[in-house]
Amino acid sequence: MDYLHTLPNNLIVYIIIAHLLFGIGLYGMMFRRTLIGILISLELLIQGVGINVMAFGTFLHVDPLAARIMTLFLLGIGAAEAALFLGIAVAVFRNYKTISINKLTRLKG
Amino acid sequence: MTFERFALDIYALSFGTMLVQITIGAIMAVRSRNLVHCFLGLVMTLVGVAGIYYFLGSPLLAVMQIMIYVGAVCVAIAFGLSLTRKAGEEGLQPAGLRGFVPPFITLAMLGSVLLGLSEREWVGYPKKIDESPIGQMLLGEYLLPFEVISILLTVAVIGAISVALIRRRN
Repeated sequence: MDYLHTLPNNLIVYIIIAHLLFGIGLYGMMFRRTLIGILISLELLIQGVGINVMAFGTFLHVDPLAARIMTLFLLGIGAAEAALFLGIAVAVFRNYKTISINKLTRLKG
Repeated sequence: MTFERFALDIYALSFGTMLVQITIGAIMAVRSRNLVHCFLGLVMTLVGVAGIYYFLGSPLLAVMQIMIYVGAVCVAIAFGLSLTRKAGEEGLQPAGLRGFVPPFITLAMLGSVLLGLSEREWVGYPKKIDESPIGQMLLGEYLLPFEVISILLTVAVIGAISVALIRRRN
């Protein structure tokens, strides 16, 4: 139990969980079949980046407020990207009646 | 067992619970066949990440994470999910050899980060600091990025509306 007590004070734990989220998100982006599945994976990936920035800023940076502001910007960019992606997904579904990436091949050479 | 030790136990246990919740939620979000289960996994992960922000000493970011992601983005994703649902298009593509690419990239990144950190001290005590200067900093030192983010959000929302309404206008 004593080892567990030091867990929240260890930078490595945060880095490993951030990279794990990034890796799982990358896997999902490569192998999901639908646009919504890809969006969900992309959100996971952005969360991994956010934890990484926040952990490094808190543990190693002299000014922890700068890390918080950068993570806030990341949250904003993530929200904007999700809104745009959903708009595109709805438009694609309306035009092609599908959001499966295997069937959206009109631009394929 | 003293009360302090008991409190420390609870603190560490809740941190461990957050880690497990993030991992299980992320795997559920990516591996589930049903997209609704993926969505629930995403919500689980986002709440866990809010907890991680809290443990990193920032209640402000934890609240923002809950409000922006769990409150807004997830509701938007749920609407998108119900508007574009079609049977038979869910699940994962067969991975094959390409399935080794994401773990390889992640391990390479993790290895390089740990290598770069090997000279540094990585045990610290993230404590809660006064976060009220953030508002002043956003309108002073970081005014330009703040305005750029505002423009980006406006453009993204207007773009999303116009893209989603293309067919209806014609």
